[in-house]
Amino acid sequence: MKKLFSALLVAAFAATMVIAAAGEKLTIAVSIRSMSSEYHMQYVAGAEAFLKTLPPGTAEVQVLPCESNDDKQINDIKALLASRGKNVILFVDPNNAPNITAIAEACEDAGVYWCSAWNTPEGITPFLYEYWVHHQSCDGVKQGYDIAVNLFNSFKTPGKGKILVMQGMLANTANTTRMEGLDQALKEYPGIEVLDSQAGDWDTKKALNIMETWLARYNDIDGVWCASDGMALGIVQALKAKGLEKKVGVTGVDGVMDAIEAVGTGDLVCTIANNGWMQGGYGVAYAYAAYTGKISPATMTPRERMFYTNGFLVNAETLPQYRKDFIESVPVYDYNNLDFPIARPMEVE
Amino acid sequence: MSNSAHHDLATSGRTWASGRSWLRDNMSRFISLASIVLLVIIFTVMNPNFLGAANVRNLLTDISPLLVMSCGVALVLLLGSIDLSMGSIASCSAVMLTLTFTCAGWWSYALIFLFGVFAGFLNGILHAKLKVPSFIATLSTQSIWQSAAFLLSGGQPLTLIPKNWGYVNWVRAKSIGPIPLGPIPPLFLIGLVLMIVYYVYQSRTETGKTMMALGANERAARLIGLGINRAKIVAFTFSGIGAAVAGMIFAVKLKSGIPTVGEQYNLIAIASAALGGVALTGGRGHIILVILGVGLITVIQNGMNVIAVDGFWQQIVFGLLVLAAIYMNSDRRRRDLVVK
Repeated sequence: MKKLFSALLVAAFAATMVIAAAGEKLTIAVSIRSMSSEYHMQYVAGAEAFLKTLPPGTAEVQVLPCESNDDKQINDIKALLASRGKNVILFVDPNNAPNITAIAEACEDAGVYWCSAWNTPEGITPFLYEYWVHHQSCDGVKQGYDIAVNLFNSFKTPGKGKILVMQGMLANTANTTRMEGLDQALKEYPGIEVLDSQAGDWDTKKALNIMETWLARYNDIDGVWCASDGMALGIVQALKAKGLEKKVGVTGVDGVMDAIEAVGTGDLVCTIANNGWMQGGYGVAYAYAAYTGKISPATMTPRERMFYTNGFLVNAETLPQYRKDFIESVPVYDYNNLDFPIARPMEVE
Repeated sequence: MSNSAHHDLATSGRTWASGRSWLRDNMSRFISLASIVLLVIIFTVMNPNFLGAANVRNLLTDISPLLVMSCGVALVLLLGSIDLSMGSIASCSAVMLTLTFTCAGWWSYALIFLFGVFAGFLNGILHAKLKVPSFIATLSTQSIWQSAAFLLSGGQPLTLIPKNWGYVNWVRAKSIGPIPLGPIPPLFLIGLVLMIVYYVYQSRTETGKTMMALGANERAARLIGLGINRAKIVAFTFSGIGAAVAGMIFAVKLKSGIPTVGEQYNLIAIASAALGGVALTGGRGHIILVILGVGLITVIQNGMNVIAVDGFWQQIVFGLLVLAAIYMNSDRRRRDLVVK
């Protein structure tokens, strides 16, 4: 029996040796929260699309999933940097904003160019570092605002109704910015009453459970403002169990395929596709341009180093266009045009 | 080496035969070490940078928070109990440390240490005095400290403001005064010191030995008049201290107080202690060997990134390696062995 396990151990390593990289290639690393997230895997697909524009066999994509563990994210990145030297570029979606500081210091020590998306703490910007090429983000406040306005206007009496609020993870920047957008919309729509607000932790099952409790407690719900597609799909399941789908409006953010389909069937009022393909593709394209000396962070404009990217609001009206551009065809970008992903610069003091 | 093994050695006059017997009895204990050596060789062959100074420093830094947590929970596991609140105590400590630097400066470290003493002591009192099962008691305090972390941080991950970076920059120190540290990071030294303190306490003091005795047979330990409650309270207090120190390590390493930073570490710390030979049923194990379990887990996690194992395969490879390691590490020759 012990021999069998030892054989298994050896077999596992044989497999890893097959999977492992040859060594001298440029490693294009993508550090994400989880490989179970369709949106985060869009980053990877974007990086792989960029890889195809490079001479064959000169580079490879390596994914570093941290499984929502901040410490693991830092450890994984440091291990990669220690093993590859300067022969690596990096695109990171920090699990939480403060991770940026540790990542920036590690990349600065290693002399590795990198780009980031979404989370960065106040006052910590690429301008403080030599190797941090850019930081990009979808405008979370705008997303929260846009889906709220879409939801409120979908009610029987537009702008008047009772809603529930399903937040994501409380300590997460994406959640807090989307909530800020919701708050802005609520100020503009005084006819909207918030019955309750809970944290679903970006988790489909938890959102479903919370929604079931809400349905037992509240009879007259007009809509659920939900901060992500994953949770929104859980909410739709709970509504379906009570025969309330399409009667209670639900929103999402991220633009995962099931949510896009749910917009088509009317189960979701709207979602916002963040376009991870573009974010991931241009994230590594910028880092590669710096790695090859085509651009230099020191001479880049502030607009190029901190910018917002555009999402795509998918509702019943815009769904055909989204299908045409993102589902029936894979988005292809010109990575030589580094200006393309910039919707507008971030305001930095 | 267990107390019984020490006893065997002492009474057998260290004959060759008894030496072989001792080696056979303790062989499984060294398989963790052998597993680490084997893994290090394989990873180094696949990528020589694995044993480079930068990665050795990474490995030792990565080991630190898990080591202090695992040593703490190992004492609780020796009792045959469990502590599920470590991750939340660590998260709360990280948040509190980040917040208190502005007003308390260097004293923040002492304050958080005291918080760890309090949180662990509370678990001990709930379990030993109020007779709440440790699983329930620590599950409850886990929720309390997790909520406290959210409340203190306002639900936000807190970034250490640059003016307070001076309180954490020691983490990058390459020497202590005139003594160069080489590739050894200061955080690892903290983990090592705490482990040695716990080991000495557990193996040299009456209360420490009582922890082992009551884990093996609490009723018998009570009948012979050992200080059961004291041992339980001290074990949980040490676990609380370990968790608080881990939280401080997270905070200084990440320069932030993230209110969820420790939540993933409860089960990993318990698994590391088990890999280091601490029986989950209590009464068997050695604090000093916990470092082997922690080292094994850290080497596997670090090595998979160094040799570029595909992200989809990492969890499978990790699970297989841990399974193989724990299988080889467990002693199944005992006739009274019961597996639940």
